[in-house]
Amino acid sequence: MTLRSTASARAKVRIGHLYGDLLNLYADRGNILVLTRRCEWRHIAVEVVSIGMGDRIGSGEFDLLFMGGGQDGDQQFLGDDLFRVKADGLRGAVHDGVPVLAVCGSYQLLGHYYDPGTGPRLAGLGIFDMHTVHPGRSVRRCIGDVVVDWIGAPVRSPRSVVGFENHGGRTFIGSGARAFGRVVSGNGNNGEDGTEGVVQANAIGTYLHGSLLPKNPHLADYLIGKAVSRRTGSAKLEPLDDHLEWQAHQTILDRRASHVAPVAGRVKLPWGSAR
Amino acid sequence: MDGLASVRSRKWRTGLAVAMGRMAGWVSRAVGRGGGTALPGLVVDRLDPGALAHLSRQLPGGVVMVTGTNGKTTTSHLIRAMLEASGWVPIHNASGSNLTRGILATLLRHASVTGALDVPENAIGVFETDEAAVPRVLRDSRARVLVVTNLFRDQLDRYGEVNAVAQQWRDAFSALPGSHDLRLVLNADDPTVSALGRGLATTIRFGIDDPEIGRDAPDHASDANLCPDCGSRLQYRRVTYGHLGAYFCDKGHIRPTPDVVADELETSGWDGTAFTVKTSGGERRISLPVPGTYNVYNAIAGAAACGALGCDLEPVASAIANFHGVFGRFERFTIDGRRLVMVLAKNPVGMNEALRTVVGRGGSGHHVLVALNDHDADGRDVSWIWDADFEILAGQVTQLTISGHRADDLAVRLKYAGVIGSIPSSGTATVSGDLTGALDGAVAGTPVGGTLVAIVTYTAMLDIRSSLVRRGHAKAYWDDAGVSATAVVPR
Repeated sequence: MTLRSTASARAKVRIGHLYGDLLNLYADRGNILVLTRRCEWRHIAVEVVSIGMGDRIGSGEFDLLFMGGGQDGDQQFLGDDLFRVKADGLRGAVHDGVPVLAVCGSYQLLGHYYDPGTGPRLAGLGIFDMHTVHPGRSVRRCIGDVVVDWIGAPVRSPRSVVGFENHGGRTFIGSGARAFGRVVSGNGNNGEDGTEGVVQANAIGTYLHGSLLPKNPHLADYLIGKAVSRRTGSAKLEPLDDHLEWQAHQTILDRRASHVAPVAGRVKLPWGSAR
Repeated sequence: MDGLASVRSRKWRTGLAVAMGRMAGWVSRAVGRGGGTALPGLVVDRLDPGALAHLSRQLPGGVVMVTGTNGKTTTSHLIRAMLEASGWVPIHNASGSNLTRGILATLLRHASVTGALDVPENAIGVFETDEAAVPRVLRDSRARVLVVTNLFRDQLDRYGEVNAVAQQWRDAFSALPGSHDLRLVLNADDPTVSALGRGLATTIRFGIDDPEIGRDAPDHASDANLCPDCGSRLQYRRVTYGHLGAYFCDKGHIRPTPDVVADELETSGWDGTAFTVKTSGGERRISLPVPGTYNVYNAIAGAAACGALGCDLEPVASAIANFHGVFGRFERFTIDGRRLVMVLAKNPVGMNEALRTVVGRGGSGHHVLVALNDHDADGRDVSWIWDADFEILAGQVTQLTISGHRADDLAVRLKYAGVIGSIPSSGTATVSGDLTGALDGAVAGTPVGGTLVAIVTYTAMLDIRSSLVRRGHAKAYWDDAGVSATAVVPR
């Protein structure tokens, strides 16, 4: 099934949500919600398609792909399907420049392998040039707020990206791989080399949830822009009123400075501004 | 620290620790650092790690533990009332201080400086127990009964995922000595919880059987996707809430038939739910005076626990009918002629049920305050608000107040849920990190005779309560030190 049409502003942007019913541990729905609402507010027709067990990813079928994190058991449950049914389509999509966001558990699944420390290595899809090692249950998990400097941020876009991390595994990116961001505070990939996430073509893998996109509207629009330009050839997005989003973003930046939850002033919301 | 290890006598070691713990409690109260519901216990546990076992094993009626994600506090208060009605004297950590230290602090109030527990011969322990503290408290107290209410995602930054919590408990069960006679009281409708009893003969299960109640599919963020018996996908004939319900899998595994059942549920807004409880000891029609389907689960969890202890159904049923809730859980206050209903919600499933109860009262134009904090007791990761269905509120609210330390995150969530945009131009939406100011504004904006619903996380609930206490609208929850924590709340 191929929906690739001629460049037409009326064509729907198709977002594929991989294993949405299984990989949803850290409020991954928030990311999907932000992507769809920000399209709708701009009158960009959008549809979210759940890609479940047994579903293939056809060439050109999706303009944006999203994968979240799940419980260990649920992730193992889908491992076989990921390799047999999804791998080729996913690899092809990344190769074609489809924007992809893979958070936490699925970020790990897309690397070369995951070494649980207590048993054999679990192979990943190898789409991202990185691998993950669990240092053992006695080593502290990486938990807390994270601020990163987004290396590939578009010109004139803010560069800070904020989120929350909660992972035991330490991820190391290959020498040729590009990190998504440089850690300003928090742990990121491994707490050692100052990198966070990885970027391959237009695919981003990251540990940041919280959810990630609600407090980072510039990153959401970057992904939407890539998706829309695949449909229409143009990536010019109408600006939205994002003052609530940036206020939440700023709260995390401020906490890093003070480690005290800031008390926001009293803000009256003007009508219609928040849509 | 093993400060008193050199004191060789078991009882004197505990006794000395008791004396020092008491002192810590006095100091804590004297300097106004709360009611001392945890600090004395912490001191004792540090000085004498054997004190919990030494003290709790002296309880003549043994110990009943209550754990699970939601409903621990309410269920343990229900069990306490049921046991009182059945002639027991419950020793209960009523304040909800449910780590080892809180349980120890409760025991300390009855302990002498010789390490002896001074309680009547019909005393029994009712210990609300944090999920992570279950292995230790179970081992030390040799509890007779462990009630598990449910398991949902909650504070992932602290507990880890649901399956990891269940595995810790299973490990704890298999490490118990053969002489430890434990009866599990499990929610049959929760696949993960029900499976804890697999292979154990002494399990009692409770569940809701009413085919009229609930929905067709689990909530968005289900934590029980796979069959605990064979690992294939779970399906549901009926979902009561969250992922609780009548589940089955393709390989023929089904939800076990519960021993204690609630049927024929009939809800009446804030005033509660009537239902028929069915046990091997008979049936009763009961009106539970607190709202929410999950409180029906709490009631039958309590009934099943008391059944395991040999109580008759009659006093158990009357305790349910006379139960008026626990602080912060649908607690009602009157402030300047307005009614304030405070609802604790600290995870997606709890929030969904709170929102459904608000909207389920009918009408629109509700006055709602939502407050999100991110202290340790709330969970530092606030991601969970994106798993809760705030969309339910869209079009239902005329006055919305958003507060707490993470008011900004909540405001973004309510924007994307379409709630802020749905407020009529005659209404108001306010974002303020100052909770007391936000509450005052929300009360002032509610018409006299109207109702303001405050849906709040744990520490926000405590903050609002202490602000109400200061102004004489409520009584401090630690005033009781053993009497009901709620009997004194004005309505």
